Order: sequence, then C-alpha cells, then structure tokens
Amino acid sequence: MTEVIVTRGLVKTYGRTRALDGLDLTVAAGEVHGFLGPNGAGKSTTFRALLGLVGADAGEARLLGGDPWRDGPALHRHLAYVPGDVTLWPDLTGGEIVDLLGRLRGGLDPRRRAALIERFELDPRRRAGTYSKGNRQKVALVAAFAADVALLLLDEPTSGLDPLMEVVFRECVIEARAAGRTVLLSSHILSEVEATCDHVSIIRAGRIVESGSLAALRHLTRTRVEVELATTPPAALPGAHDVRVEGQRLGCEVEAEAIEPVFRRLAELGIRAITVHPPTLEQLFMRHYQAEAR
Amino acid sequence: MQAFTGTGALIRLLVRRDRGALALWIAVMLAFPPINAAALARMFASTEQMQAFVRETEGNLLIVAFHGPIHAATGAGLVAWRSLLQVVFAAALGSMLFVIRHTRAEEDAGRRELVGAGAVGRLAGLTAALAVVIVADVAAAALLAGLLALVVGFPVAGSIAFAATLAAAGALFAGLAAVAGEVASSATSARKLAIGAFAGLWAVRMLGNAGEAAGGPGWVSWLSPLGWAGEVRAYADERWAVFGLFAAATVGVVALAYGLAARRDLGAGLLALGTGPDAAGRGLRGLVGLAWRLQRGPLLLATLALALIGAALGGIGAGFAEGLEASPSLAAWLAPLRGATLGDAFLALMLYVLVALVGAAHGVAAVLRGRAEETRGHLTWILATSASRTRWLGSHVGLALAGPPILALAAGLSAGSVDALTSGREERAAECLGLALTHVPAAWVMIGLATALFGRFPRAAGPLAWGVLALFTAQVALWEAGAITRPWLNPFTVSHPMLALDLRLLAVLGLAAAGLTIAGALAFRARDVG
Ligand SMILES: Nc1ncnc2c1ncn2[C@@H]1O[C@H](COP(=O)(O)OP(=O)(O)OP(=O)(O)O)[C@@H](O)[C@H]1O
Ligand SMILES: [Mg+2]
Repeated sequence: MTEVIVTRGLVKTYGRTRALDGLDLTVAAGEVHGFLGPNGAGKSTTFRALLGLVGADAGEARLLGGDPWRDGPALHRHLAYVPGDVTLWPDLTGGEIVDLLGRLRGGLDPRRRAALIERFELDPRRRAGTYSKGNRQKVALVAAFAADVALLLLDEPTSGLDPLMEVVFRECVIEARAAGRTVLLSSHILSEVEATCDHVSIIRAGRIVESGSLAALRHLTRTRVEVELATTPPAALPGAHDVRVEGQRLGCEVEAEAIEPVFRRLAELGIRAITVHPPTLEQLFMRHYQAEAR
Repeated sequence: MQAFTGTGALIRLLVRRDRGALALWIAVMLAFPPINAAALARMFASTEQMQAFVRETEGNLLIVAFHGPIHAATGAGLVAWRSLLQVVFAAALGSMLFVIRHTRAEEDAGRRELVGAGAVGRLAGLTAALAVVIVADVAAAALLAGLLALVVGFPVAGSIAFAATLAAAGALFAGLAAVAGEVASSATSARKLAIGAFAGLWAVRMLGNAGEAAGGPGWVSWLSPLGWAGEVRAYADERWAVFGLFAAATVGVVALAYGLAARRDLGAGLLALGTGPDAAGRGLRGLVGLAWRLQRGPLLLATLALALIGAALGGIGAGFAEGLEASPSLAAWLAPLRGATLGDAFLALMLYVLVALVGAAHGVAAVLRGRAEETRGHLTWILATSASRTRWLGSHVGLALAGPPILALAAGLSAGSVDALTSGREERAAECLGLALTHVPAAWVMIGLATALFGRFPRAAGPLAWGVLALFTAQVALWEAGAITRPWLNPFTVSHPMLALDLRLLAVLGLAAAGLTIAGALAFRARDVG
C-alpha cells in the first residue's frame, strides 16, 4: 500500500453550497502533504469526510486501505487528528484530555507524552477552561504527536501558536516524517508548508486545482526580473509577462521554460544592472487564491 | 465612573436586539390574570358557590401546597391567588434568562471582549442588562395594575399590590441571575445555577405552604422570596412591608453581583476552574468515564434534591391520617386510591410529579448534553479516535436512562421511610418506593424520544424535545382539571394516580422507549456529525 489517502470525485453538498465538488486527492505513504486553499475552500470538510464524520454525496474515499464511512473506528486506531477548531472540555485538565484521547485510541506512549509536554511547555494541570487559544492548540498537538500512529491529519494545527512553538511544531512534523509517518497538513502559513512539506495540493471551491511535489510546483512559478539596459528596451519581449518599461529600466516575470531565451535577448540589449527574484510559492498560491475572486 | 462608560449605548443595543421578545414576554405576563378572571367568572354563578369552593380548597393540601392559602374570598382575591404562581414564574424565569443572555452568554461568545475593547466600561454590560430587565418588569407591573384596576374593575390598592409583586419578583431574580453569571464558569452553568436556585426556593415555599396547612410552623415559607410573594396578600389585608423585604434583598444581590463583577477576570468564574490532576485517573478510562464526568453533577444534584424534598413531603403526608373519603370530590378524582389516607394521596401525586415529570426533564437534559458535545465540536474529536458512534451514544443515553430509576429510588425511599417512621405504618416505605418506580417507564419514553430526535433532527432536537415535554405536561394538567379527556398518546397518563395501574401498559411504555432509543441510534449512525 503506497497510497494512504485517495479520493476520487468526492462531492459533499450543504444545501446549496458545494463544499466538495469532485475532489481528487492522493497522498502517498511517508509523505508530508501540504493542503492549501482560501477560506471556505473545503479543507476542513475534506478532513471530516476522510474521518467518516460526514458522508459523501458522490465519489469515493479510501483511507489506509479502508472505507472511512464504514470502517471508521478500526481505521482511527492508526491515525491522529487535530481539528481546525480545537474546543476542550472546560472542566478537564490538559493532561486528562491528552490521556483520554490516547485511551480512546487504544493507548499512548507515556515517555513520548512527557517529552512533548515539556517541549511544548504545556502545563497539564490547568483546567482547559483557563487555557489560552495557543495552549488549547498545544493540548491537541501533544495528544496527536504522542500517538503511535501511521497517519496524522492536521487541520490548521498552528493557529494561535507563538513563533517559538511554531518551531517546535515544525521539528515534530519533520521527526514524524523521519519515523515514516504520513502527514496531511492544512495551513494558511506558506512558510510552514515550505519548511515541512514535500508535496502540496491546492484546493479551491471544493476541487484540487494544483497538486505535486514542491520542486515541481516551484517550476510552475515565474522568476521576477528587474534589469537596467544599455539601450532603450523593446516594447515586446517574447516569453516575458507583465512587462513594464520605465526609461531604460525593464521589469518582467519569466516562466521557467522561457528563462534562457529571455536572458539571451536581454544580453544582446546590454545589461547594466540586474536583480532576479527566485520563484516563490506565494506567487503560485496568490494566483490560485485570487482566481476565486474573479 | 469609567467602569460604566457606554452603558447607554449598550442599553439601546439590548433593546434593539430583543424588543420583540421583551414585548412578547410582557404580553404573556399580562395575559394570565384576565384569563383567570374570565374563567373564574364562568365557574361561579353565585357568591355561595365561590364560598363553597374556598372552603373546600382550604382543606385541600394538594392545592394549598402549590398555590398557597386563599387570603380573600372575593372574585379579585381568587384571581390574584390563582394567577400568582403563573405571573411570578414568568417574571422570574424571563428576568433570569434575559440577564444571563446579555451578560455571561455574551462573554462566552467572546462578544464582550469585542465590546469591552471599545469605549465600554467593565460594569456597563451588567448594568445595561439589569436596567433593561428591571424597567421591563416595572413597566409590565404598571400595565398590569392599570389593566386590573381600570379595565377589569378590581380594587385599586389590591391591583397595585398584586402587580408590584410581579415587578419585585422579577427584579430580585434578575439580581440572583446576575450573581449566578458571576459565580458560574459558563452561561450554561449560570443558567443551571439560577434555575436551580429558583426551583429550590420554590420547593421551600411549597413545603412551607403544605406544612402550615398540616399544622406545622408558619415561618418556613418566609425563608423563600417566593413565599413572600404570597404574603403580600393582594385584595385582602395588603402587607406593603413585604416589598421592603424584596427591595432589601434585591439591593443585596445586585450589590453582590457588582462586587463580584468588579473583581473577576473576563472568562473566569468564582466556582473556578483551578488546577487539577496532570494525568487522567482510572475513572476517565473511556467513553463511559467521560460521559459520567460530564453528567454526574446534574445527576447527583437531582438525586440529593429529590431525596430531601421526598423526606420533607413524607413528613407532611404522614400528618394527614384521615381517610380520603372525607373529601368526596377528591375521592372521586383519585378513585384508585380509595381507602388510602389523605396523606397517602398527597404523596402519590407528589411522587408522580417528582419521578415522572422531573425525572423526564432530567433525562431529556441528559440526552441533550450529548447534543451539546456535538455542537461544541467535542464529538468530532472523540469520533476521530477508535470510539464508535454507537458506543458514544450508548454512554450518554445509558446514563440518561439510569437517571429516572435512581431518582425514583431517592424520592420513593426517602418519602416512604419518613412517612413510615412518622406514622408508624412500616409498609409505607415499600409502597412509596414501588409507586415511585412505576413512573420510570414514562420518563424513559421521553428519553427515547429525545434520543430519536437527536439522531434524526439534531438541530431541532432541543426545542422539539422540550416542546413535547411541555405539551405532555400541559395535557396532563388539563386532564387533571377535567378540561379534556384522557390524552391517549401521552405516556404520562399511564402511571398517573388518577388511573388504576396496568402493568401491561407499563411494559408497552418500556418497549416504546426501547424502540425510540434504537431508532435514534440507527439514525445517528447514518447522519453527518458536527
Ligand atoms: N455543517 C455545515 N453546514 C453548512 N455548510 C457548511 C458546513 N460545513 C462547511 N460548510 C460550508 O462548506 C464550505 C467549505 O467549508 P470548510 O470548513 O471545509 O472550509 P475550509 O477550507 O476549512 O476553510 P477555512 O480555511 O476557513 O478553515 C464553506 O462554504 C462552508 O460554509
Ligand atoms: Mg477549516
């Protein structure tokens, strides 16, 4: 089994809203898979469908080789989930909640639990009603990372964490990958995804609009070039986009395939000064996110 | 006075948000007395008939326990006597729920932080809620006094006294709710605390009334503000000094609420949530442990309350050793209890109310606790572990089903053994326990119904379950009063003391409860969660 998560044409409607509109998502074993998309795109709904909490209207979902709707409890023994909106039982302490979730899953490693509580600087004796947002999130993270499971489903797990804890979180994800676990991580923090994920899927309006390895996706984005020429720039430059000319200065964006011809042409025109901004994922995301606004 | 900055703006906001509900609430309070006046006018063609009714009622422990003694045997006096319970109930409950809605619930929803960050002082929210609700109470009282004195034509002084009772009770319970909102750690527990306090004070008044009628001390009902409400004696010899008592108590609780609010941190409560164990103990092992942890508070509280009330009622019942035949109308009404004493009949009715109705209400609340777990997002988390839907539902519904037998045991045993000890009739302990247990299947049916609603119509489950329970209770009240014939689909008629017990029908109730519970579980397995 190399594919831990597979969905084919998954559809979920809420009244008139199509929360999932033919979702095709594939996550291979051992991958840390980033799951990105604008607000309301359907990320949390995808998690709920993968957990068998909501039934799909059409399409198919397979998780760890089983059907999440039918075999939920058996499959859940092998996964841990951090919900997008962590709410805790106010009268229970953080430590009790970590243990309770562990026991409901079938046990957790006490040493790992102790180590994680220390690393996340969580006070397990406080009642959950008195935790701040970030501390609530830590309870969920400790419970998830302490579990001895094959798959981690993390829905915006770091919202509310301070930068120090964000670092701890990234370490934990990287350790999980080293231990051979598969991670599906939804996030709005692009740097977090770039730092931890090897694969990324972008969802918009309930569909996957882009999916692949980070390296391949970088390839899809454009390099930004600012150049000062020795001569007056030409009006058109084949292969370049968004060309702006100001005196002898020229700015443009260049796709990966067009870098060589564009630079040849620029060299012919005589380059006095040049700055090149490498492609960022941000541009790719922006392109997909903004497409929704149109 | 920075703490009060922005109170005016908040008052306008509250009135804007709730003006419809406030108007409806005032209309309901105003409706009771005229309806009762019309009904009583139809009932009594002559003064003699009215006098006969008053004489018979004075000797009727059951009615006196609920409504208190009749102070004036006039048309106006009877209307005030009959309406007091309804009007005070509506005023107190409405005031309490309004105050908590606009103080603690706002805070829980995080809106108070939003507002608090603006130009609004920390005491402004509490002040605005209290101001609006007390003004509404006083306005309702003024309208009611005018209605009774000018339209219905009752004596002016009595009308003012009766209407003022409404405002006094409303204001006092608004203050109590404000205290509950400061003390509790969430809006839900604040509501429970406030309504629990109301129920407790109500029980004190009832015990005081019944005890006094049974020859006991007269001071017991003075322990409860709801007892004071009866001591105003509108249309008889009005005791205006009682309002001084109301005013002093209201000022006291409001001051307490302000004292707490000024000291407390946002989001915290006095019944605070300090620290606790750093790891889960053996009790919190799985689903049942969690459900027990979430449900034990209300269950233990209800058990304790029913045991105490049962014991007090048992003592009162033992004092009425004369035969039921002494009161022909009562004997006809409670035909199956022929041969019993008046006290036995009283206890039979009280155990019905405590186990069937209170037990059902407790059970419905317990099932809906599961729904709260879903709306708060806890359920998605639980079901993402190896816990199955059926086992999770079973843990909550199982505890809910355990409630009525436990409550029957508490109420039946305590009432029966106190009765046995006081009257020397040893068989009373077993009799009362047996009687209490016969009401369990009816309560189970309501639990099954709530489970079915939760499984099939989760969003509407709360209002529907409470609505059906209210409808059933109203049907029983009308049926008891002879206004309607027996409502056949109502589970609460089966074990009612007015009817001879039919064990086969109890078994049918048990089957119905089981069927509804299973239907609920099947529907829950097939639906979306969260
Ligand atoms: N229980 C529900 N009832 C009705 N509509 C829902 C429900 N759950 C989700 N939706 C709708 O489905 C769509 C997808 O929601 P979802 O929560 O999956 O988005 P998301 O990608 O997680 O967004 P965010 O980044 O804000 O967390 C939204 O339009 C949302 O309003
Ligand atoms: Mg989400």
